[in-house]
Amino acid sequence: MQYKTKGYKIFTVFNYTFLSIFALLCMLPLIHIFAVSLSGSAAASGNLVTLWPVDFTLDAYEKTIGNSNFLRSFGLSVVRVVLGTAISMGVLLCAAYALAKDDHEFKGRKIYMWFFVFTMLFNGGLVPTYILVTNLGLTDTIWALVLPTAINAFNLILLVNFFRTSVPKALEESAFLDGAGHFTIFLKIYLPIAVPAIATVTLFTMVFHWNQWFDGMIYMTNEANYPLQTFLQSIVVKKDLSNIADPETLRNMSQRTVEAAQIFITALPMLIVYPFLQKYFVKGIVLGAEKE
Amino acid sequence: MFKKSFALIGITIISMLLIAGCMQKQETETEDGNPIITTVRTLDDGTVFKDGEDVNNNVVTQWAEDELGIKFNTLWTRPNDEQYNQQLRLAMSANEPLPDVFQVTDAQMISDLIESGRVMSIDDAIEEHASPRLKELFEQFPEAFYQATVDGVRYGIPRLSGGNGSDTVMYVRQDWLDEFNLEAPKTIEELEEVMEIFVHEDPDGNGADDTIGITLSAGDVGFGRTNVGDTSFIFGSYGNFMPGLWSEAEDGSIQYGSIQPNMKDALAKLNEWFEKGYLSKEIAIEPEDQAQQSFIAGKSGIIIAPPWAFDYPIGDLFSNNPDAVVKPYALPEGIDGEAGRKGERLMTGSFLFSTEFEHMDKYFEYLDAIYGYTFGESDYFENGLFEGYDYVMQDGDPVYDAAGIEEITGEQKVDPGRYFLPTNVPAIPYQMYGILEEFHETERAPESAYEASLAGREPEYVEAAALVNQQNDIRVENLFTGPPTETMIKSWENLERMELEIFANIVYGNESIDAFDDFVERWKSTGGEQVTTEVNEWYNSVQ
Amino acid sequence: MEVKDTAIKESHMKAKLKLAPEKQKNKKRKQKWAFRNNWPLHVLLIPGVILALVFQYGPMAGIVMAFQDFKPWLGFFGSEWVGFEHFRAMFEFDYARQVIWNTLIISVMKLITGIIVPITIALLLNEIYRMKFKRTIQTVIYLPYFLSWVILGGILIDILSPDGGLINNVLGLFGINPIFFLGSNEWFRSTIIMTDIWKETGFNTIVFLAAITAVNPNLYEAAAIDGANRWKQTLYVTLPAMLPIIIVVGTISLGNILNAGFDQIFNLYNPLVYETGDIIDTYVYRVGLIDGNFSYGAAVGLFKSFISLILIVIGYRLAYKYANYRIF
Repeated sequence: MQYKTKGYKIFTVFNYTFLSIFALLCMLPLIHIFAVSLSGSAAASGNLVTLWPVDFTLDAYEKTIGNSNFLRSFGLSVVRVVLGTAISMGVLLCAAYALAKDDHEFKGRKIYMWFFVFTMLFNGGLVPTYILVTNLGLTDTIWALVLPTAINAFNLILLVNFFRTSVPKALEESAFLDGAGHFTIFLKIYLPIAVPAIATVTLFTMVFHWNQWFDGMIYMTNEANYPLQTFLQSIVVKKDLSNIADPETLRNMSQRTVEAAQIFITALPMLIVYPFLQKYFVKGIVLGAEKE
Repeated sequence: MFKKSFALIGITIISMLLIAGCMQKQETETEDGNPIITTVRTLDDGTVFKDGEDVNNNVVTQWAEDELGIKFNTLWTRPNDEQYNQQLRLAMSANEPLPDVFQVTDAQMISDLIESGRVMSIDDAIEEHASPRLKELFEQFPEAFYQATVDGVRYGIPRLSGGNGSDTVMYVRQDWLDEFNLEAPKTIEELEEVMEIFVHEDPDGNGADDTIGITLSAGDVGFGRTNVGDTSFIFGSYGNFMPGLWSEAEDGSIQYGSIQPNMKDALAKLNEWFEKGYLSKEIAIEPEDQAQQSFIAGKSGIIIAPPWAFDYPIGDLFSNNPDAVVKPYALPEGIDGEAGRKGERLMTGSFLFSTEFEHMDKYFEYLDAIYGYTFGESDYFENGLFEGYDYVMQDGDPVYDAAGIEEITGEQKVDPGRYFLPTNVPAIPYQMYGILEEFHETERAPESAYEASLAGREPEYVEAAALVNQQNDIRVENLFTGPPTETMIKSWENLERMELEIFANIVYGNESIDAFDDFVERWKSTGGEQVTTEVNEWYNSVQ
Repeated sequence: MEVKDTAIKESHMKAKLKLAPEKQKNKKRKQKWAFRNNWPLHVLLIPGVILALVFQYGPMAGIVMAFQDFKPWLGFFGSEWVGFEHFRAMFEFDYARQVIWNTLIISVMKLITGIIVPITIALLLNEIYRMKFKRTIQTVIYLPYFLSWVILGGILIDILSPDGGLINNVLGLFGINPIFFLGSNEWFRSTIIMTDIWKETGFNTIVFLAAITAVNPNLYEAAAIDGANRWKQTLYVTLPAMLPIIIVVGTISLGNILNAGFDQIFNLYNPLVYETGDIIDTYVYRVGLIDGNFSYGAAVGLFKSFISLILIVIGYRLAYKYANYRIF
């Protein structure tokens, strides 16, 4: 499908240029942070680093990797992402299959749907959620991080709509007439066909769990249970320097380079995951089984 | 199938609650009968632990257990005050048991806790258990108790600050002054002459017009409320009030600084400086840690900052520019020697005690023991706090400085004072800079481990501390430490926003200076007057 | 949706877009569906329903706080009831109008650009046939999403500085006087919207890229045979195929219209631009700082939820009426 018209050629040149410039703009801050993370701490705190390290050193990375809390938190975050995504996707996919049926095929669908939509709009807020989670005894367990957030109505709605737009009704019905049950249709038809959708929502869920820091902060009483972003947040939060009389303490607190290194290291895993999932929605799946 | 699913929900909830039920249990004594004191605290990343130690198991908790028979149990920690307060509020809402002893900085929360009846009065406990030297200290600073006093009853032990520890001096690039044969400015007028040269004569010699006169910061919190880049001396040059602070007027009442006439003169001056390019264009936008970059980068000739800033951020300037020379000077004065600066508060919060706490005697024993170090008369800390942490012994003499310790042990110096309950070596207001002033002015030798550890500080830091202490008479302190009053809760957001807007806009030249009078009128009429009355009522009630 | 070319229209209809499932009702089928028991569908929904009941509906009891003078130690049962007092306080205040207005302007602009820009980028990426280039661009523009506004705040203040900031230096090359992006009321909102686009576009593009992959390649061939060029194919094949997802994203964004982005504004605003940049959330944050009471925040939250509910219902109805598509 190549188009050799003159207009399209001009467009292609423009397209490549435009996307390259946009991509460059998106790179700059990260390059800056990367450069800061590789710079001397004094140069960093004087904001003398732009896109190239000043007084090159790997100190910040040594400190970061060497911090036992960092690695433990990193591990916890990985567990959280895997467990949280697995639970969330399992629950969402099951629900989305049922809700992707038409109203006349599945009585009660509407009620279920609005039941979930409602959770997107109203929430009890911080205090009651906290009371619930603590009373359930989830404090200081991974469940406090993965269970309350398992149902995300937005992702559910996305999945439902992806299912409805990408699964050919004819295919489903013919399978149905051949005697396949709901579970078979779900596993053999919906899941394989909706791979791009599943990849997308999986990515959203993973990124959500990876980035979330606030719940870690309120539900984990023990610092050893902080997931990575919570740990990172506890470092980059605003600190009150005026209580500190001791010069060494001041120095420990004001390491911009360490902050930068940690930001870079935390962004990295999601950058690795993305291209891996990308192939599922760049190309799409050719619907071989489809009949007109 | 609906029955089934409901049964499932029921089972899940019940089993979860059962798990929950098993978790709530709190011990009050160890196996050997020592009392356990539970607490919660802020713990920032400036607090460094040695390998294998943590907040519940370190040289200080070990010492408390061995020497005083107290086992401390820190239930949770949060990295800063904001998150600490939030967690405390959540814990209160969920009806979790209060820790035995805990520090609260938020006046509203102190007031809420007192009202809830879950923290106890400490008047009797002080009388009964506090050592004579602690009693004397408390009597010396009665205002420090106001924050947690209701109807004349005291509920909190103040966590005393250094008093003037974060009061500011003027740090100047001495090498720039020398380059142009200038004297350090003593008055606002002289300061302007110096800044004029710093801005226009290319003091950093890079051929570009890229320097500013003075590093000031009002971003994030507003004018007169920062430590590094403090603007308060400009306001102090025109009168006795400081923006954002409630201080005593001539008639003995307390008044809000930001609406007083001296603001107008100072704002006009700041606007003039802004227009002339003496200030950063981002003065009202950048928070202080970003504003200070201009000085660290060698693009600014003057920074107003507390003495401790000599280590950080100013220390970083020397790494970036080894030829830089920085010297502390007294804050410049206005016409007729009028001068003033924002003074640090006497305390940074209060310790409150759960009504279920039974070991007030042990608390005071602990407090007296750690204060012993600061007093210089201690049974436990003869050479310093803990050997191998804040000092090491070499040939029978203690070594305190970080470089020396690192050289001898190969390990970083660690400040165990941060592990104490007050999250720092306990302080006595005005004592530390007083000692440093004596070191600076006389040949006096250190008389205790505490003094010895101070004696090793950088000479510029010692000089700055001495300057701060010598200028103690110009400090203006915030006298309102109570909970927000009724009208404050309703109107303060509005009043403060009006203030921040008008101050920033006048300095940036978006509003004429006369708009200030209009602001004062609006401030008074939209609740400010009522707030002032209520603040004075509070003040009279605690005195 | 005006489709002129009938060939394309037909092939479009053949696509299993199911824009109007109701219209394809077929009584025979309906009977067959009814014949089979639908119990597996209910079973599949059980885990989701339980989780939502416990963790989403459970805490909703706490909404009563909005009608109380909530004191933590008195709890939900002991706190004093104040009825609509907090709501009254919210609306009586002169400044409320300003804050709501700012919120609406900023979030509507973000909503519109937040859909148009990612769709455009997705379509442009779809025209790239060098896979390596395409993937690189895609990954790179997704990067800024992972930087928090706390970090970006500091960087943006530098980049946007009128005094030697990168952007103003570049504008200076074209003879444009320095612009005070973060300190002037004329520029603040645009700056907020531009930086938001910059940060979120890459991530938001993903969902539209996924939608594009669902397009049946046969449709393009049919359109090409009918002589449609690439532009027409995009207009009459790709976009209509993406329409359901666009409608879904758009409708759900409508529900977010009172959230103009707390983190972003909180880290970039300052007293110079309160007039144009102060939003509901930053305002509530400042109020909360003074007395730390949860009730007022809860009242504002509830108000926002109601507005969201109304807007989502309207969006849902409009989508059905004009695009003939039910998103739920």
